[in-house]
Amino acid sequence: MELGGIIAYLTSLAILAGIYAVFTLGLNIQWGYTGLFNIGIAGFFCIGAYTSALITTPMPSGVYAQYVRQLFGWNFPFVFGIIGSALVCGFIAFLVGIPTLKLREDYLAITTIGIAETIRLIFNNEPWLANGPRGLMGLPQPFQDLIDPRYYHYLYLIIVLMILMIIYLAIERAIRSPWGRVLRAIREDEISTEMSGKNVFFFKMQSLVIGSMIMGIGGALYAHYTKAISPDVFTPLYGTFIIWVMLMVGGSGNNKGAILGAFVTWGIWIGSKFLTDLLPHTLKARAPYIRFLLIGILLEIILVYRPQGLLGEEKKVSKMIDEEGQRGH
Amino acid sequence: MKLLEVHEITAGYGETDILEAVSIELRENEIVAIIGPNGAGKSTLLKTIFGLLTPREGSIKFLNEEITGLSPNQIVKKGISYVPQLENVFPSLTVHENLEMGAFIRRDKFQQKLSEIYHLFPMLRERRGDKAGKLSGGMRQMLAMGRALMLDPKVLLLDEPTASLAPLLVGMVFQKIVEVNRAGVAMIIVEQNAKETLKISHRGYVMAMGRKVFEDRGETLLNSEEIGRLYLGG
Amino acid sequence: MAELLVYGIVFGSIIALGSIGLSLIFGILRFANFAHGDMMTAGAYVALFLVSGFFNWLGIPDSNLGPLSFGWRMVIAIPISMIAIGMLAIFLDHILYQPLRKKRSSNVLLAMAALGASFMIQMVVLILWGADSLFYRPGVLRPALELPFEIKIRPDQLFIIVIVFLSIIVLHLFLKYTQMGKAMRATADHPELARITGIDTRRIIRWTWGIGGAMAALGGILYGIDVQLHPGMGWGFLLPLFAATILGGIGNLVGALIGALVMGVVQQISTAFLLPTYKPAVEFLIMILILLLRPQGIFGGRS
Repeated sequence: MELGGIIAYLTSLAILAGIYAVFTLGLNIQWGYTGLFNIGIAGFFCIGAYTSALITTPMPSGVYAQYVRQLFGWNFPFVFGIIGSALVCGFIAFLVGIPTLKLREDYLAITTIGIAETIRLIFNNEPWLANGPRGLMGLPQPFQDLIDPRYYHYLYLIIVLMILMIIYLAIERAIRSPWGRVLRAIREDEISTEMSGKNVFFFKMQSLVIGSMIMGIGGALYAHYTKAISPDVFTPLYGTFIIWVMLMVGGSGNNKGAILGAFVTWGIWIGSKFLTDLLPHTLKARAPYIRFLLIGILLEIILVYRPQGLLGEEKKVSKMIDEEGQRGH
Repeated sequence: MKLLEVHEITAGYGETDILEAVSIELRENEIVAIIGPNGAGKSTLLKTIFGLLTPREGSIKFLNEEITGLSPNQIVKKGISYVPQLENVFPSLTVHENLEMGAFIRRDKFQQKLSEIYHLFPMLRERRGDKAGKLSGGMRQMLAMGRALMLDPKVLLLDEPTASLAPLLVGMVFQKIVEVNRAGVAMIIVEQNAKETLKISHRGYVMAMGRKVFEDRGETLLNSEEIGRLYLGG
Repeated sequence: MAELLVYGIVFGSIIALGSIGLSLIFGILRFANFAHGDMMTAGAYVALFLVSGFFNWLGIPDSNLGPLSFGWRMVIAIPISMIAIGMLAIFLDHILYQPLRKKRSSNVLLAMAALGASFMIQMVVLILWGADSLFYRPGVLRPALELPFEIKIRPDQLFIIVIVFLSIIVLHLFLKYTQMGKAMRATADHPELARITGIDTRRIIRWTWGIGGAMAALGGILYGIDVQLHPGMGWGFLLPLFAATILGGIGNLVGALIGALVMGVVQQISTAFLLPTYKPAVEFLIMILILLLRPQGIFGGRS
């Protein structure tokens, strides 16, 4: 393979890893810092992607209208898509949080599974919303007219990395603030935090909403990269599970860890393709499953032998010295 | 003959030590009381002897065999039974089933032992089909003791057996304790109710702040003015 | 409407096998087994392997037994699969959950490990059988029996109800009258006191997983007989399983049974008003209502 091809390939790798890193940062706020066990990431992935798609595409007209139905289509520029995704996801997270944030961790978990499933079902079965199972195609890409399509992905990579950087810096600022300290106190010991006068529910809600907004942005970035989305993209496997693996691999409670985990895990995922390419022809069709099995084994090994992930939790500037690996983080 | 020798035990939960260099012993057929104010470490001592807590320092010997650090599973098999203060019966099991659980690790058919226990605690036989969770406090205490006796232990460790019981029931429990002891079981009793306990004890230890501060014969402690003033207020 | 009710009971019985096991595991191990649905999947596929593959190779005859849609192969396959999944559950506990318990890992890490296990089981099924739906007996469905009150029910479904009924009775007798059963109930009450009494909690744990796994396997196989097998079936069971268990009260086995039947009936009846594909949403709605209004379940249980 020639150099140009390799670079193009690596670029597309980096774009997806970067997009997943955005998700991982969002999950890190919810789980790593606040201890919310959210297994419904795929739901926000889905909403973020679709919201941006609907905002940035025009309503289907003419011949097209016979095949595609969608709830609305404003044909706005990309940046509105991103903002719209964040806002809608944040709002949905707020609605979801009202009944569920009071629940115990494992109940919250099964609830988030149900929510993600329900969201996917709605998008799949209500064609007036976003074309049902066929999904939406031909999504626009930002600045696509400015660059030769052959080199477009470099631009998109820059966009993704810039957004990732902005989110990372924003979270880092927020986490070191008093607000961030309250979040971590909630994860450590919710009852004591409650008793010290903090409105725990309020903080959990903020964490849920902000984390989900970030996930929405990730969904939008994904949609505009792949240019086509449909409900079966947002499965528990590709939309939730892999992000959890990324966070656990990198180190929950650590933003650098979140980003590192995303890139490392995506790298392993892509790398495993080279392994399975060596398989005999009959097994080739099953390759993605073999690769996912490896990812699953990776997660279990991390959980048992190194639950703090590669980077471990950030050392806190606090009176309580937290030993690495204790308390299951 | 010394059944139990606890030597210089230092133990605690996590970082802090609750017990400091505590030594006690239990001889055959004895009732030994451990009394003292709240937080003295009395219950912690029992838990350490029974293996629910591993001591940082010191040793525990049963019939001259080192049992420090063994798990409760193993200690119970050696012949020591423990009755905790709270959660000492299985609420959703019947009285009869609770006793059966007491004999879970016995290899033999324990019908004989069951009859003995029912003979010792006739009120349990009356309520044998009732769920343990519905029993009154006094009955529950009887059941907890009966359960512990199903294995024919040589040593019985009782943690505050009369806590939260009405005075009438306190007397009944102590009476049973004496009966069980006469049948050949040595006991260590941790109690808040110091006066009543000392009345039936051969010897007693007074603990405070994680240390042993006094030891003597039960009568002597009971009659001592100083002990009475310092520790037997309640 | 009567048919919806009948099918609701059939589906509810299948779920009951899973929810009772889940409740048992919840009660004794205080553990939300997110892999329970996929244990059902594993059971179904092991039976498929035996019926379509291994027993075929062995040459065991397979003509249908009477009006049922399966033959002797399935009859032999069922207990074998149950034992296999029981052992799988014990094995998973041994290599995954036990090390985490020893390290005093949080509940969430344990749940995550279970999720990971559930995905791995799905992947193995996908690797070995692919993503298509499969059947134990491809072809035409056996005709339905006509019962009084104009109730139509397929012979397979009647078989399912009977088997589930019998299994639950067996389990009940086991828990009520055997020493191990009583010890399991005791451990569910107070694990610490069980240890103090000398009960070997490791054995209890093994039995709990074994029984939970075996019952899940049976549920999966019965579903496969009634409907179909597909790799994602376990994940689809998670919602009704948890909803039923929560509805009945965690640790309350009778509650888990009734909760499952209620779930089954309600989600079937919902198809009179909503698209059938929305059944998971209905299950989810019920579960969240229970969690918000009466989290200890209708019958109460451990929290």
